[in-house]
Amino acid sequence: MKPPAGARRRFSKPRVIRVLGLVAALCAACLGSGCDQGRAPAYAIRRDDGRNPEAMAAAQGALARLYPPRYRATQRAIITVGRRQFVCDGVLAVSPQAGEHLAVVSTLGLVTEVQVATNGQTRLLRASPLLKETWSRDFVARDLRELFAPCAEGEPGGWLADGRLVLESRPRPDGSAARWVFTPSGQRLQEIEVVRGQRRLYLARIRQYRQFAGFPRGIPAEFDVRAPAYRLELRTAALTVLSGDAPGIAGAAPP
Amino acid sequence: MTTKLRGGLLVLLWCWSGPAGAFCQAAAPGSAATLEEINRVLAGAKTVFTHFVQERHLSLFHEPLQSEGYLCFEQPRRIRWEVTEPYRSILISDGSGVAQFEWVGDQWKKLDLGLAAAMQSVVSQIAEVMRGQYGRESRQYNVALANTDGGPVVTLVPRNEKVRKMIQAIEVRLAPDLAVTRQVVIREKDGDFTEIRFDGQFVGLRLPEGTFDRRAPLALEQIRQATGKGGR
Repeated sequence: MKPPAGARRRFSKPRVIRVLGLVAALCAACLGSGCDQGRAPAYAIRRDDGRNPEAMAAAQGALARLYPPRYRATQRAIITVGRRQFVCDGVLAVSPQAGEHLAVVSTLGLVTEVQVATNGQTRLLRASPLLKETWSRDFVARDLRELFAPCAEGEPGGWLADGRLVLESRPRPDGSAARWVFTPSGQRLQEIEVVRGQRRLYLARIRQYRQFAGFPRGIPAEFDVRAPAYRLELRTAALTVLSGDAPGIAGAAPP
Repeated sequence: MTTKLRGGLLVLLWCWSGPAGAFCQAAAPGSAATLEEINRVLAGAKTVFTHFVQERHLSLFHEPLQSEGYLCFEQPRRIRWEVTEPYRSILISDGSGVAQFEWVGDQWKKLDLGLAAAMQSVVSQIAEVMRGQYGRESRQYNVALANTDGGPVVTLVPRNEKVRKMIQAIEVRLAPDLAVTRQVVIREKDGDFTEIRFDGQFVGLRLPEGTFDRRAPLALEQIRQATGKGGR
């Protein structure tokens, strides 16, 4: 049977080239924004066989004491969406009472202000027309939670093929789980991975630790986050460790 | 947010640059400045090189978010805003386009800046403001002048209602003799405000080639050496 008259035109050379071009552009955009990492399979973990309980304990201790209990930090971020990049500043205040409180500001003014309370609840304190509220809740709050409010109850997960150690969170209500990848000795956190089943949802690599006055250990100070919708390169430019009674947040009571 | 609105916001937020616009000819002491006089003096500033300290006061935080750096301006519309502390960043417009650089991993990284076209459009308008063209910008905001003991204060209030919901006013505080701009305050909603203080301003210096190069801007240290203004 002969194809309809228009059938050949549907797959004409120019059209195919255009489609291929579009696909290539989308792939390039995805590669540029970190889609390759966000959609990569999760790390394959060999379950803990009890080979090095000291390293597991060291990692659990390191995770629980990753940051000072009270501090205030100034951050600088580059956000890549597609092929476009945007910069903004962050001011982060952390305390055992209020949890993590982050304000994001750009040249245009306040972008968003979110808080992750000590019970893990997220609260959008202030929104602006510069960023959709759903982006604040879904992405900014997630970055805040994953990077600066790590669970203190990481459980032994296992080992990667390259010898690195993995702690895991308990499954979350949405079915995801966090994994913290440490050096083989368990002394230093290197990556944070969020997975659902065998699929990676989020990967944050710690590029640099920095020493700040008032805290005995180096603090993760530079992150490279790859998520399906964006890439975040975040640096802590300044950090002040606060004493127990120093004010950090003015009006943000825990929800 | 529409591009027009975003552009309006950018204009407003950048108006402090105008000021930075220090002036090349001081006004007569003792006389109340007029907008026309300010415009005239501003228009005479061919170049400006100044140090700044910027503080963003957020209502829910006790301490402001502070940064500092240097501003370079050259007529008619070249602008360089460089932050040196607590991080390093450069925003440059050479009059035909804008570029942003961030110091990452011990080297400058040029960004594929989003909203670049809008930014360039805005910077062009800023340049007009820096040349003292307040009147021409009247579509964007209402301009008011108050002569105080500390010097004249120019207040810009956005005309656009949507913009005004985010930016209530911009106050530009000048020295009594109009020789320098001392401070700019951008008042936002919810009690937030940004204060920019200028010190160590130099007007009419010859800024070296490359100061406004969007591909490979000259290092700040070289600008300081070339201008002979190595310190604040």
